[in-house]
Amino acid sequence: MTEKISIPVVTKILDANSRIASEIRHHFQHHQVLAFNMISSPGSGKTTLLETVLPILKKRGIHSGVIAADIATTADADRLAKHHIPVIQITTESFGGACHLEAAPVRQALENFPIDGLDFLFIENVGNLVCPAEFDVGESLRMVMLSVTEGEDKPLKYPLAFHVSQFAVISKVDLIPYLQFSKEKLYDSIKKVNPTIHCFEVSCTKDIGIESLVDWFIELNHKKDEYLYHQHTHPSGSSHSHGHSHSH
Amino acid sequence: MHEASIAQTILNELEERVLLGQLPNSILKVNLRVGRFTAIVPDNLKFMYDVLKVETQFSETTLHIEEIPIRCRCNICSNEFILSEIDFVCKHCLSFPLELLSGRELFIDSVEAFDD
Repeated sequence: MTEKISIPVVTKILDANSRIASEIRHHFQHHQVLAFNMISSPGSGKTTLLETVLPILKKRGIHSGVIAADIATTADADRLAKHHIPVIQITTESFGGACHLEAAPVRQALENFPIDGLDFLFIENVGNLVCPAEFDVGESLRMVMLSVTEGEDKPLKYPLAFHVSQFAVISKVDLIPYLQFSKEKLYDSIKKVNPTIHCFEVSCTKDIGIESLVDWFIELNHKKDEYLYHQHTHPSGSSHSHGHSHSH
Repeated sequence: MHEASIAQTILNELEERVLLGQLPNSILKVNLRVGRFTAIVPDNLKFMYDVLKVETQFSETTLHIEEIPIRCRCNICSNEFILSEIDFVCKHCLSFPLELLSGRELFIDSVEAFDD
């Protein structure tokens, strides 16, 4: 008679993804490119932020490229290309309409993307505050974005995205007077999830807070090696306190 | 929705291990350990596993998920405790950041099979 047996396996499910992410990280180290994984809901203003900030960074001598991911269309890449920003679009439709980026399509995109001469690479993830938080795509830093119209409780509803990010950009702050929105509640929510995260408040249309954010990016560029060679996007999320901290 | 991708990865892993002779053909149950601080909804993952297994040799298997609590240690007072709600501040001395000891797991722990 056959007996039931239990066989230990102990395999991390995301190991294969982590191995590819690790290769990508070495590629960035080799080319001295600091990569940012941008995570947010759809419509929080990731592309608008890049359209606003990247031309300013370029004037200050920092050259950036963008990998834009969406389920479908090349709309984001088209918008960024108008600003002469090197950009490649990944549509996850061909990867089963994935709601998030994994390391494999990023590696594939990089095969056709010359990154020599770039200082920064922004990986604009699929608009989604849940799934992208779980997948390492080889970035050095994670940036979470939240627009004020989404409500101040989102960090508590989607804690992982805020926990694994080193800095948060709160966008569309010019709209606060028209909303029932409490900044105090927002920061209470953020601090519960990640007490050491750096926060920036911006409005791209009204040019609020852009200068502080640009200064932060310039500071990151100065400390590039520190971020390139030490992974700060710990799965355990113990965010490190570095340099500039926004007061609120 | 990324649970579909996770479920597919589990099935791929099983298939590879069966091919390599590391696991028998007669798998009945797959035991998964999932931390509470992952972006995984266990019911969604089970649902996607059941959808995706149909066309595979694992169509008769069941996925069992054991959830692991979020356990933290305070770097200042060294107290360890389970976080029942998301608030990464020490319950004892109100310091931060906390070291996350568990809660981010996502792995296949074991499989159950007939001994053939």
